[in-house]
Amino acid sequence: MSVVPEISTKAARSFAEPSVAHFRADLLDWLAQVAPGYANKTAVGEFADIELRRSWEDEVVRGGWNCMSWPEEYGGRGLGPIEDFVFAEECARAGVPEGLGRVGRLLAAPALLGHGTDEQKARFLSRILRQEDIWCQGFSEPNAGSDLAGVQTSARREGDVYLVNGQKIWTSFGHYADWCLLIARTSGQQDRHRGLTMFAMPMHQPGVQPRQIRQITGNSEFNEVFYDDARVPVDCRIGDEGMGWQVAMTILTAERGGGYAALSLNDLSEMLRMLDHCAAGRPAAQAEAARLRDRVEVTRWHVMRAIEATAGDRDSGPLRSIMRLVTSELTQETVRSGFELSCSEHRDRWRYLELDARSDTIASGSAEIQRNIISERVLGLPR
Amino acid sequence: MQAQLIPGVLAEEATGAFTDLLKGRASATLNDEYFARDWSPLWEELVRDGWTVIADPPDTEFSLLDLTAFAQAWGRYLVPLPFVTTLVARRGLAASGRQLPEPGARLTYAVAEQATALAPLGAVADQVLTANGLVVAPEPAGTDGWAASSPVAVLPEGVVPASAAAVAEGAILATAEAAGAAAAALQAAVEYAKVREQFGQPIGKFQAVKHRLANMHCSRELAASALAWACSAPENAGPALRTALGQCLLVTEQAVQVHGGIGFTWEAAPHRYYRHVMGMRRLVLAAVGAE
Repeated sequence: MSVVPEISTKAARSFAEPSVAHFRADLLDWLAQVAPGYANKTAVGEFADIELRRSWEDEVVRGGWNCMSWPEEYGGRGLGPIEDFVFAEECARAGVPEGLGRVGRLLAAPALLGHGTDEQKARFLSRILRQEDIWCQGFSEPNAGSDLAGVQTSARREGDVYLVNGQKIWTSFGHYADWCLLIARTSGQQDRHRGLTMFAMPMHQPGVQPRQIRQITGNSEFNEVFYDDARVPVDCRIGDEGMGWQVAMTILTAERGGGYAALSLNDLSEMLRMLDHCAAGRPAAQAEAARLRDRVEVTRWHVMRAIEATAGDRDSGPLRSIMRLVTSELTQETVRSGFELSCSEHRDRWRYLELDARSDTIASGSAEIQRNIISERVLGLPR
Repeated sequence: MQAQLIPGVLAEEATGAFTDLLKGRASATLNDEYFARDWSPLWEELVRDGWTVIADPPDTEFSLLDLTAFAQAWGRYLVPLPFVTTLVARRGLAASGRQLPEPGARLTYAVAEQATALAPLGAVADQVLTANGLVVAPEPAGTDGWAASSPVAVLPEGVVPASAAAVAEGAILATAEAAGAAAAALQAAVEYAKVREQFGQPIGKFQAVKHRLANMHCSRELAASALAWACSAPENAGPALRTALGQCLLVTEQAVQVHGGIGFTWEAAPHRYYRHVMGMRRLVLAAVGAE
């Protein structure tokens, strides 16, 4: 039995505002009641404990904490990125699992809020908020990875529907998803960027065939998805035909933003705890752990600084641009340290993480692409 | 309560005005002439416009984090005037209940380093803050690096260091100056990469070069973020400041690399930033410990 806390409906513009401390106190009260039933039960591998993750998400919805930063007219509380960050931080500290709604919450919602019709917002957002739909992301293809504008999956309009044909890859949640944020080509290759269109693709239909991909960890967390005359109604097109690249940029900005950075910081905190445990009684390892702890702490302050700049409507672009690169490479460095310690208690976990961390500098834009973006868009170097 | 992470709007506006002033007075090639110049007119302007008293308690409108924004702006120009150190010394004096000198006094503060003491910009200050208040600045016994752009003077034995609180604030603002120098070094490297051509194109088009510059941007931003961490606990800022200075050092080292052969010469600017960071690092490590 949990109480629905009374939360301020005014988004903080700075971490220093008293409302942030009140928000955190309310959140901690609620977590103290509900978290023990879920805490620290996540097994190795992202989808190892699917039922626990689903029920935790339901708990979050019942508590009224989901999608707090959405406008009130769509069921949010009009709060902002600062409250979102505090929520992610305290949930991690409480050891509760991450839900399955990440793509809907962090990627589909910004796309819909920024580019969707009123009808689409009414239709999709409340279901995302109540965790009734799981979303996945259909961007990458076998021949369009870093070069996203090279997508070949086609969407051909026939009356009130588009018929989609092609293949997407690296689709996390693909085998659970109800909807897919799908980018497809609606006109020829010669019009690389302006020939793209974004869709909310219904996944439960015969023309959509997800196939799990076994990863280097041995787990199968993502999929390749084959589209064979799959049908997507015209009213599920997000933005106008030919506007897909702009919608994709909104989504990629969100994917490299504060919400995802908070998740990376949570993983890093857990790794530092393990690292301390493994380094006990080994001075050189302890020194290395301390050095990494300082780097993680600086990164945490950086993420908070970027979030505060965003919340205060300051220029946050140069701050946000580095978050994905810095967190991903620091994660790999931390994991490597843990793996090299050969700690008998956590050996399997570190081996899993060492393999799994390879994806950090590939997913959501490879480290090379991130550096291109920083140098070209922030520093203004020639392409 | 959590401290603020970015300077307030008021500080942002004031920093903008401060930067405009410095751009007008201190934008020139960083050569020997620049450091040997008579900087008194700029000092007089800073005094006249009230910049030397912006941090005076109890009336100051600016937090310590706000002051790091001023110190970063100042650090970009490597002006050999004891501006930031004057802010620190005035705050230290006020905190110990002592009378503040007139706004034009060129001040610095003493930090213990083993048996002796260091003073940032000690070679160009008139008075040094010690635990006993202000004393007339002694002739430095040495400097950290080349004298004119050197930010740190080694004081003769017998100078008593300033209070722990003043030294702690000084260390944060000295690190902010280093972060400003790193920002300027990055900017210089970016500008050079846009105009220097090899193989028929600007070197900034090569990914090997632009990715190095992207790394420098990451380091520079992390250094600035570490200042927010430091200001959240000024008396225990060692880990934040050491991390920040490590990032500043990376930026200034890499700025030399981007400049190539010319970067290894005295006439090119990168070594000036590099030296400034080295000097600030020596001072800050003396203040907060090497680990």
